[in-house]
Amino acid sequence: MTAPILSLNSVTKMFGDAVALEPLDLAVTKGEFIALMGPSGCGKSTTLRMIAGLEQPTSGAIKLWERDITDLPPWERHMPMVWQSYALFPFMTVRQNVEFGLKEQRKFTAPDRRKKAEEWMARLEIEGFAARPVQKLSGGQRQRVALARALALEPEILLLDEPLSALDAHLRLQMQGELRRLHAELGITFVYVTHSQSEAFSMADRVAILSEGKLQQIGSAREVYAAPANRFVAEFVGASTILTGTAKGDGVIETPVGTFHATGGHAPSAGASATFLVPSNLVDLSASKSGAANEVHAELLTEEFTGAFVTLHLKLADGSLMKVQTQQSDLDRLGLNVGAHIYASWAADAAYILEGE
Amino acid sequence: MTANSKPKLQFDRFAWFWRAPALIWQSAFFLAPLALVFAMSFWVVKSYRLTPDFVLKNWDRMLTRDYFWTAYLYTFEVSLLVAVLASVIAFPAAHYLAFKASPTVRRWGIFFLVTPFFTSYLVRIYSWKIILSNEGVINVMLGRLGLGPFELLNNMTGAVIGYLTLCLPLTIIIQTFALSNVDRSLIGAAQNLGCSALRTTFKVTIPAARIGLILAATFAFILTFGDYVSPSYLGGGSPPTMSILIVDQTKSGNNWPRASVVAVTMVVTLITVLFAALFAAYGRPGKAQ
Amino acid sequence: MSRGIAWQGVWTVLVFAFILTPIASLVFFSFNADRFPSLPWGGFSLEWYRAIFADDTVRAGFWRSIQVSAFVAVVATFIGFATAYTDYRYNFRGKMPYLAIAALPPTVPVLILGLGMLSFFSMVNLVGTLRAVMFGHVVICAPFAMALIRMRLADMSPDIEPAAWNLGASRWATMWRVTIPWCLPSIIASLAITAAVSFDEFMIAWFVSGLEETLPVRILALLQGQVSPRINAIGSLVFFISITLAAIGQLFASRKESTA
Repeated sequence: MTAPILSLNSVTKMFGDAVALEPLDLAVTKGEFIALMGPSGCGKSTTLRMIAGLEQPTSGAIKLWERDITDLPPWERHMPMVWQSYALFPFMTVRQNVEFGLKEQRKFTAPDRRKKAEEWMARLEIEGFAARPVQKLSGGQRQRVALARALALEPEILLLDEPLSALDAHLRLQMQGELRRLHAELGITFVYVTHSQSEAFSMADRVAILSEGKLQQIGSAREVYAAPANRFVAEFVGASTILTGTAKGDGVIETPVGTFHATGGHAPSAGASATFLVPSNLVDLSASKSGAANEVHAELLTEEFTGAFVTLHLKLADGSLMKVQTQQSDLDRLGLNVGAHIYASWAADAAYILEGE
Repeated sequence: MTANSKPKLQFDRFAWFWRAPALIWQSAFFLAPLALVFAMSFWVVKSYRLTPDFVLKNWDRMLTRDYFWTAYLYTFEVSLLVAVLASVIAFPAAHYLAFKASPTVRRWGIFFLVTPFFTSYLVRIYSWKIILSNEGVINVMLGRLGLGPFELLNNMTGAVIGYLTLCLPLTIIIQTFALSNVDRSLIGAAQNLGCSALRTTFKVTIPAARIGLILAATFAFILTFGDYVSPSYLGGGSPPTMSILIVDQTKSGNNWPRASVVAVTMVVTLITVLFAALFAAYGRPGKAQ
Repeated sequence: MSRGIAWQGVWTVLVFAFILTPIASLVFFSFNADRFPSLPWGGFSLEWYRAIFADDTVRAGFWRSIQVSAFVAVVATFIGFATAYTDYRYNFRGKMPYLAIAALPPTVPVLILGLGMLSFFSMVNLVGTLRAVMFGHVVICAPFAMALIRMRLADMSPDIEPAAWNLGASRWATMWRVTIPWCLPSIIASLAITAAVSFDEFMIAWFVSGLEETLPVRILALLQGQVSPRINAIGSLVFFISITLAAIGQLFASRKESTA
């Protein structure tokens, strides 16, 4: 097994007395697209800044291949970053921005530099604005300049700090596709920070989920989705209903809204409290009691039409909420309206028991 | 972004390169001279030579002299007067610039206020000296109307005109700035509730701009308190102000220790006034925001 | 309501008239052929301008003031920039007292500064030299430069310098290629304003310049004598120079380029 291109060994960060990051171990493989994600304040941006050298870890080491770079200043790390605010130099043109890092490298003559800059501007389809001052560009265009500027340095590792959050939804989706394409074409390692689960899932090979300075889970998107490590991850990843009850042994769990069979995930001992997930897209609906093994009676609260499917919010007997994803066609077939009574059921192996509580 | 996101080098040359200049320069040429003034107030002049010592003689001499206290009180009173006068005169103009003037007018207004700030105060006072004299423009024009001549020089009137020349630009600028920052919705609300323009000004605008207004008055006070030119060239030098005492003791009396006593007294007074003003401006939370 | 506004407008005009009268009068009468500047107007004349250009002491004073202003502009702007940058980028123990020392000079009456500097410079044998005036002026001019440049830095996006570091530029390179270019309008404004302040400053100069009189000190000397129409000419000249510098300063200080 080859060494990881980037590794964080027990890296922590404190700001005064406040813990921003608890000991974090992370190994990034060469060429992978890894996303650090989590809610605001979880430590993902702090981690990225430490990788870039813009913050100093309070303890722990950061290594590039086998080399300890913890004390290396940012200008010697060769890990260009694409910033959330783009951070383009305001008094320079697009070309000057893109050439900035190249100029510092001193291994190019002016004509070579220009050629390389043109190459990358063309790749990001901004060669038309080369001479334009960056003030005059739209958000999407600035985004591309920021990318070109970073990629022109042809680094081994590219850092991205929520680069798409300032774009509108349509542009964002478009850029997600472009970033995936670039990653595949260039074979560079991408370390990507975001608070958006959908962004991370659609682009990354692996996702690392952080909350309040602690790493909650790391794995591929599918792994994390199918087998969340704990309640936080399950909720963050989002498309499941979470039910809590007492285990009775043999996968039987007694909850306030009924007794269910759950065979996926962990196996709590009898008497322990247990939490399990019901993925929204694996729930069947019927207008009347179908007699299935895991079934609950619910009241339809709201419908959210998102185009590809409809998300329904159901209220269960004890007041808790259940999320169900279904097709519009199913809804039509059932002829349901808000306030209607409905029965939701799922297979025992669709339910996934979380570790602990 | 907070600082110290740099790797901590043993001795951060870069940081110190930028930190040091002010430190070195102001310590050498600002703090040291001021400390010297303070120290000198305890020195003596022995046979025309300034000798370091530690005596309270100078303090004793000055503080027991009537003319010292007369000067002190006069300086304080006139500074207070000018602070109030300047604030009152400035206010309608500042209010106009902040609320009623168009952006272009406001910009030109500020331009015409800032520029005198950087042109020779000395020269402007000289100009006033001519204008206010008995043969000057004002008295000549009044003479044609059968009035005067009025003694506008060598008295407090002349001095106050000079002081106002010194303070008004800054007072107006600070007040305009403070008034521009008043939350317009507060004023709108007051007017909605039926307050007349005048009442709104007194009950809403002024309290809201309190900090800036106090600051403007304070600067006017400080400038006036320390000024030498107006009281000597327009005020006739009598009664003397603290500044005139200092110049006398230095240039004519060659008694730098005594001058230092006056200087230290001035500095202590001004610091006290500044703190009192800051307290009045910021010290009461919960009042008009 | 409009009656109220008109009244306010008139008041404002009167206040400005008060502020600008001495200046207007000065310029007006500098061209007056009469010895004593008053009405009636004595006829247009350039006599007084010719007189001051011929006067050696005035020419010498003028030249000295230019030297001092040039030196002060550069040094005060450098110190102001350094202090502003330190405030912008660093937090450290003692930052508050540090900034206080840097910003305090304008609050101390110039007279007292003059006294202090006279004593200080006499101990190091610098009294009566232009250097003393230069050093003293930098003390009061640097805070202006610091304020102007600090405001400009505040407008620079906090990610800009880190972005430059991240792209491979060392702190020195970033300073040269990014920070200073960004601050350039304020730097130019500082140069102009500090030059103006120094050019007009007479109190410190009066105390420490001895026989090496700067122009304002020369004016002070003339002031103590008889009314001389030459002073109108000198004053107008001084005013013209100061207003040019101040206008340049204001022009560059208000340049606002948006951050990206």
